[in-house]
Amino acid sequence: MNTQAQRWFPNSMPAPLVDAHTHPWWQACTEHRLTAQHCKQCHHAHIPPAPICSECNSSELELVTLNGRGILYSYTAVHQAVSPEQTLPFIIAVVELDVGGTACRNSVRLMTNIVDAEPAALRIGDQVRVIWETISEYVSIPRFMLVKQGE
Amino acid sequence: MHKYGTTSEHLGKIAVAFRKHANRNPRAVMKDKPLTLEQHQQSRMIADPFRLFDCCMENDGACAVVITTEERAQDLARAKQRARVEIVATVQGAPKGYSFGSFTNANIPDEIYATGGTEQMANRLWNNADLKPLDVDVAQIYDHFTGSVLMQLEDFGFCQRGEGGDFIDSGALHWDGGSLPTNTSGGSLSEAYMHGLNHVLEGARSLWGESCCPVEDARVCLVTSAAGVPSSAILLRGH
Repeated sequence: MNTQAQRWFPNSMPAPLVDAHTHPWWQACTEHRLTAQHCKQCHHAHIPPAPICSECNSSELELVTLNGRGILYSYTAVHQAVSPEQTLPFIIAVVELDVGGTACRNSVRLMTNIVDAEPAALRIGDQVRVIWETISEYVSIPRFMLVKQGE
Repeated sequence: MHKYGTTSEHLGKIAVAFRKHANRNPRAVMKDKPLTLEQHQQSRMIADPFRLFDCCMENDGACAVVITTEERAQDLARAKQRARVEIVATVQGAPKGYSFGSFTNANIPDEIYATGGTEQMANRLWNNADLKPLDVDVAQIYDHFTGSVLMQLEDFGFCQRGEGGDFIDSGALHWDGGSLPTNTSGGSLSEAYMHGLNHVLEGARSLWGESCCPVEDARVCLVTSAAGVPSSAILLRGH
């Protein structure tokens, strides 16, 4: 399966707004690496990346690569198009990301989309995994899909 | 809804109550458009569980509030033969980790995720004013969406956490006989979307006895700003 070619949202959707602090996070996305900001002082994990740790104010921060798995924390099915070319409904979700294998002391949530799923099939607590939507050579966006049994 | 079993009908009853109030208000955009729970349930879905009538309107308009010294207010009140409206207490703020709240921040603490995020602020308001929820005669609660009204009713202590649905079922929000007449002008859902300043005006009107949905002997009015984002609230008292 050529995941590079998979698209769920039209190009007319708003592009991510990138700033100096979030640029490295989006840069990792272009390499299809889902990351979280990890504080080297207190091991707090945070998304989006910020100039200082929200827990201990340290500026000794790094991005750590996550395994791309997570749990569906909350979601909604949106029936109102943002772009006229869009397929409706689409799902906006909050995914609680697995930080296993990193030094992070807390899990961290990401607002994202669930793709390739009917809203009625979703349950809070479902296991999900990241799948990348490559918009251009400069922008890839992490979406999520349900983990199938045995996956 | 996942946590407490709140239903779309609970949300619909909020919209229906406020529309009933707007139908008595000549300034209301929805003055001549009644709304039934059935119509609410049949309205198109916007973002589940919010249907069309769970969302506030978009409209043009203007309103203003004049705030002055107690002495000047007394003179004006006498001249207008109106009650003087005192700002008893004001608060603003957001809980730790909130930034833009549940609207944009996926990482607000789990224990306040399914709330309006205004409980701590509400507690400060009650303390600063030396008043309690039971002292409130009428409320103007920011209603960009029906669900945020339900969560603020819980945040401000008018009912227990998770019991907002039952509170609404009791008819509490209705001006005629409800235990907490709320958004007596119709609010953002049915009067006008003036970003909440119309709630402040209606707060004053309800204490002047000039509301289209008057609450008899109303002395204390709560006015809140939005849930789900950094917020603010005021307590008004009529003299």
